[in-house]
Amino acid sequence: MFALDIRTTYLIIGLLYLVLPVVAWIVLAGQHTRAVTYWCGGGLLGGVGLLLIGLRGSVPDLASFALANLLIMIGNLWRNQSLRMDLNIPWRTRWVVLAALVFVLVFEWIHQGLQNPLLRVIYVNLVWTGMLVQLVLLASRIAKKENSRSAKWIASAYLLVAASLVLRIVSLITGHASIDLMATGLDTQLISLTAILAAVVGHFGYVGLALDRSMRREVNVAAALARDEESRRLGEQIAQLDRQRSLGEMSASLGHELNQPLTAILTNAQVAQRGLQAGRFDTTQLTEFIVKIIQNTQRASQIIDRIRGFIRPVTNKREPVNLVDVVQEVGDLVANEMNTHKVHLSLVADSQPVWVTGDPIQLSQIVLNVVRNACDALSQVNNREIRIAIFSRDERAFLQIRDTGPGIDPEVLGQAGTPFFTTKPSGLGMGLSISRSIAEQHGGTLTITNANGGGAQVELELAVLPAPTFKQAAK
Amino acid sequence: MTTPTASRRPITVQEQEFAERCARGRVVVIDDDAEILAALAALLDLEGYACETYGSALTYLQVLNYNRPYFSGPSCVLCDVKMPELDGLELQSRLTELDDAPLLLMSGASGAQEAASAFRAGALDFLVKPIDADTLLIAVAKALATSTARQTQRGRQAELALRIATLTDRERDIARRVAQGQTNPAIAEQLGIALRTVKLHRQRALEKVGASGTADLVRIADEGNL
Repeated sequence: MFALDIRTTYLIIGLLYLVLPVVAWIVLAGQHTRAVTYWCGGGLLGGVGLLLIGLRGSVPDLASFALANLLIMIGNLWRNQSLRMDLNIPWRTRWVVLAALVFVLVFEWIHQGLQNPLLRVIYVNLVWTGMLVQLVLLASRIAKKENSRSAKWIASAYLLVAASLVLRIVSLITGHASIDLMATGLDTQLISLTAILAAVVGHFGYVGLALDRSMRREVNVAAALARDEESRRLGEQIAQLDRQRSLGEMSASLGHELNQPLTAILTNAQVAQRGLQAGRFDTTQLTEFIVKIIQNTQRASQIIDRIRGFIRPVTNKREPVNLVDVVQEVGDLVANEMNTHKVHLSLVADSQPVWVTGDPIQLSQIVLNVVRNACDALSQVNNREIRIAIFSRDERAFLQIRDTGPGIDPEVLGQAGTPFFTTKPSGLGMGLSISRSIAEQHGGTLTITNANGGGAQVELELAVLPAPTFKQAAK
Repeated sequence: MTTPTASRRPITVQEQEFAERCARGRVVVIDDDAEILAALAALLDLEGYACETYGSALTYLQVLNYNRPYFSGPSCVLCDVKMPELDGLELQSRLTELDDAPLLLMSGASGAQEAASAFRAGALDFLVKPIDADTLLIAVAKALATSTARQTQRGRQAELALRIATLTDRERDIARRVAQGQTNPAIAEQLGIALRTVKLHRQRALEKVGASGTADLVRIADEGNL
């Protein structure tokens, strides 16, 4: 009958544990996490330890006894630690070191002090069984948590080894087995079979687990990316709708604004026509009217450009933006509406250029929303002013919009800017909320407060674009 | 009518031409858009009107208040409805206090609401921008005609006022009673004077105000605010 003695078993398993961790390490190239390192490293140390025991007699006793067992112990601890890392419950390093030391000291005490080989073997087997049971429990937890078949295989394989170790301990205690390395028996047969199985299944299972995990990670990353992309796209669509809504509400005043140059064009053209028909215009006079027609046509097309630019659907640029330009642009856009509502909109005179990084359209949207909100609030008072200040302090850019309105009710102040919160009968409650998320996407904040002198104040705070960066970008 | 002529000075050709234009009609154009202002001024100028332009209704009111120029010819005001500070509709109410030049309102919006409130405020016409030159000129001509009619009316009223001022208190009282339809005996009885005296005063009053008969006196009493 084919029978393996303990020594041969140790040698075979030792060799397996030398080779398989290396194979696993190579297969898992590119995803060497600390857990993988501990698993493979632990296997390798265990392999060296087992070989040393297998070579007992051929190598110095110290190496074959204390060192070999220490290595196997550390190997076990590391492999446990590896699974614990995956479960996010790692041991502290000092406890691992202490456990290994205590183990080897007790071992030496039994070996050298008591000189009781049977007790020594039982002690070693008990500790290993304990370590293996730990490993089985950890692997089952991973199997359950990640629903991983590989982890289940690892748990089952090591459970078998633990069981056969228990059998050997029982056999040793009851005197059915010998501690002689050359002895053969049912227990050694079982151990060698299960240990070989566990070595193979354990490592391939571990590789499977790691691969599963990395695949899942990739899927998760891809899903997260897709989610981000989706929410960014949705955010853009909402912002775009908000811009369209703003312009829609302003359409009457924008129409009036567009009508002005058209009126000038028509009248100038008709004057030229009448002058020509009456024979009263010379070329110089005629040219004068044609120049005016051209200028007013350009003026009309600028208005259209401004509107079109503002509702351009795809905007998510990151470029140097001068906040003063943003405010002036919005000022032009709302000039007519402000006139209609008799609101005086002013940019604090000494505003120096303040450069930030962002999308000019989206930043304009914030200013437009806030200014139009302020304009609504001002309908309740006689002194209707909106003052905008732009300045930078400590590498932060500030854009403050203050109005002389009644301010915001303190009860409502906390809710202002949350989606769908509005105090206006016809409002959607999205304007400030969208503005706030735009500010956040630009790495800034939008705060709404009541100013000291009365009225509401909205402050946009962003990071200042450092001068050198801007100069490079300008080049 | 008093015209200060402290010192005589030669009349220039420009002044002559301006006077001619004023005689044809003076149009005050108010719009906050300089381009439109210039274009409208060019059109009215071409048509031989005297044209004044103001960037806001407020400036025009200030001119009217402090530095009121005198024009003998008809005049009208062409003003945009929608302007900052003071818009056309508000101008209308202030204008009636200061000047009786007819008001033409223009607007970029053709909303029924705007038009309705413009007419309610007493505008003579409501023009929607862009305004066709013909439409504008017809409206201006109509407004100037209204202005002329108002001026004639005002002239006659002034003349009547002068004539009424020559009446004695008794004559005036009796004329008023006659205009109200009282008979001579009723007046005599109420005032406690002789019928003959009533007839005498009545005859004198008719002569002084230049009325051809009782019916004419009623009209004069109405127009001249007897």
